[in-house]
Amino acid sequence: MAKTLFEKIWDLHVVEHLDKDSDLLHVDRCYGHDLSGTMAYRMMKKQGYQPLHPELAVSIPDHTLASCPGRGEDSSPVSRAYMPSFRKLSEELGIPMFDLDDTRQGVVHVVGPETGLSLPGMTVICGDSHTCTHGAMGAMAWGVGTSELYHGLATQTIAVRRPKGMRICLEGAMNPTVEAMDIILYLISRFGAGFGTGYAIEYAGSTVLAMEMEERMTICNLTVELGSEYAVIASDEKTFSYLEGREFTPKGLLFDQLKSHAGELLTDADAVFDQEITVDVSLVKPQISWGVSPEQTIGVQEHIPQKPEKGKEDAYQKALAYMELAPGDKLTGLLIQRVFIGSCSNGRLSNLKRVAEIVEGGHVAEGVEAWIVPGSAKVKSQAEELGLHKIFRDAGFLWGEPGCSLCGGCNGEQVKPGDRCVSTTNRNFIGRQGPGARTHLASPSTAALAAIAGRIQDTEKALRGRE
Amino acid sequence: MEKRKVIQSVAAPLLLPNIDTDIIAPMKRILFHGDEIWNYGFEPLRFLDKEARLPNPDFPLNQEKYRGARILLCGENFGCGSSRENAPEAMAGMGIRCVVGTTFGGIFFKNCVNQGILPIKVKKEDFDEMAELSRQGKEMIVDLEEQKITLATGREICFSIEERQKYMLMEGLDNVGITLEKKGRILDFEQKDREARPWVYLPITKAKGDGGNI
Repeated sequence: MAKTLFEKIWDLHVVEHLDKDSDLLHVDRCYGHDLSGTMAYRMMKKQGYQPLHPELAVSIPDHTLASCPGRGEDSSPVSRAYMPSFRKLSEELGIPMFDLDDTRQGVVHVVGPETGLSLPGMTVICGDSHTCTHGAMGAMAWGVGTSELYHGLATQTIAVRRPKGMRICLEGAMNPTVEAMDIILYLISRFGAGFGTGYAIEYAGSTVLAMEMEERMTICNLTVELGSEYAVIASDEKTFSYLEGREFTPKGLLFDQLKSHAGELLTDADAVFDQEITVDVSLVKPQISWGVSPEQTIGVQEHIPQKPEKGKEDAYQKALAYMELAPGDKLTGLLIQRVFIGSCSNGRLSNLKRVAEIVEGGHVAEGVEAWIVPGSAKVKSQAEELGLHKIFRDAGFLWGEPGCSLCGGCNGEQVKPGDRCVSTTNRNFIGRQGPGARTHLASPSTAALAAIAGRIQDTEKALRGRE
Repeated sequence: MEKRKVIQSVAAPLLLPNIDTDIIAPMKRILFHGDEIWNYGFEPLRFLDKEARLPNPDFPLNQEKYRGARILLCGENFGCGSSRENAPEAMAGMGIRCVVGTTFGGIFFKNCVNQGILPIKVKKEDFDEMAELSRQGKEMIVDLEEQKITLATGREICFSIEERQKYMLMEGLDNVGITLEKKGRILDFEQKDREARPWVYLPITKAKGDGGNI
């Protein structure tokens, strides 16, 4: 019978059928971060269990760490509270850790792919909803709660209900001023934040094939904001050349075996999806969110809708009030106080290179505090080898230490109440970046332009003007 | 975990779409008050002044009519966002035993079961009828064993739930104990799988730079 990529990975991992919709699946990788990892490890200790295969799990701190230059464990009250316990529990449970001083430390969803830990055909779980990012490697990867992470660690399995299948084909050449972030924000605004609920989404089509691995990761990362827990992209030559030579990528014969295994995990030509859509991305323009859900997004040049969608009247009014905006407002020209560039969405080297091109020779506007935080220690050192940190610092940006930083404010760092922040992260929820903070999600280019101008810019016009 | 069989209660309607888990369990409170997260459940909606804990009269669970409600009627895509299990934990601590909606955030839906909350998906028209009855302050009965909801009008609505989730909720069990009874089967699977995909089992503890050259 013809199968999709997702179904093939699923079927390879079935340890036992549980009921008509659910299976007990083998888990190949369990990632624990300093918040949900600590909570899951505590749960495990309390119940008196040990991980079945601690050597297939890894602890990576990212959420609670301060991002100020030269930070230590004590630089944030949150990491001071969580890190000792995270480290001690990891040790007691035998789980290896990429600690603060490790060159492999970083945001879990940046580190997994870049170290070669997340490989095509694997099942990957982490107590974090953006685990779908690793789907860009051709893996089945999804976020779980602490009870499920604890279950995964204790049994190396997880009970899962089989989702429906959806394929989104992206076709056409991307406008040169548009980034992967704009494409996925566009999809969320067009289809809605609940659109993918109950589905595993496979991205395919000429645009996806043409994308670099880091762009694919951005697309998969924000798929949970489209409502789906799973995003997956078939592995191809780009995947293998990205993986080759990385620390945990298998070497020699094993790498050849992995490639031929992954080659079999492609969606069959006659496989059937429960839903299939094709989107022409050649017309997509730079995007920016105006409200408090990622679906409340418009083109940077557009106006906020005059009227809410049916059934969303309250949500629309609440969003406008929180963001201090009015129906029909334009966002371009709006004064901003903060810019944050980084996170598991857009904190990789290609993102930083793009920002450097824009800000080189310019300076952050007066009254704006702008941060660039690399997604991992490796991204940081690569960027510094290229001298990007000098460009950023000369332009008045803070060049931070790797971690989740301002994305969720889990480390105590916040945007002040009422301040407006253009952020390359994935959530603009009420209070996400701090109580009363107003978040506008956008691409690294749009964020960089806003930092320099002190106002939200028309990305297309500004970039064209530079040519 | 407490056993759940029949839940009879008024259903409190929280009908805003896309209520995310940041709202249900604010991060700042998780970090420093994680052991009593229920005190801060829905904080941005529940209080007019968070520090003074001044109740917001618009928040259904603050209203006399819905005081002590054990069932929550949830707007579209309820529980989207972060995977934090503190969200259903907070709700459980506030007395919620059952959530009913048309669509839920997928991770939240599963986390509910692990926190002893029965999550139920229903059709839009059934949901709208429940919302109307709840506005009138009418009770409903959720029978997990029979998998049906009985409305105040007497109309019955069946719902589906995965067998293992039903079992967990009915018996108040921890999933890990159940799965570990199958350890032999898991190890058998791995033995075969090691031959097919040996790279999966290379320990992450291997020395740096070695990369599993076996």
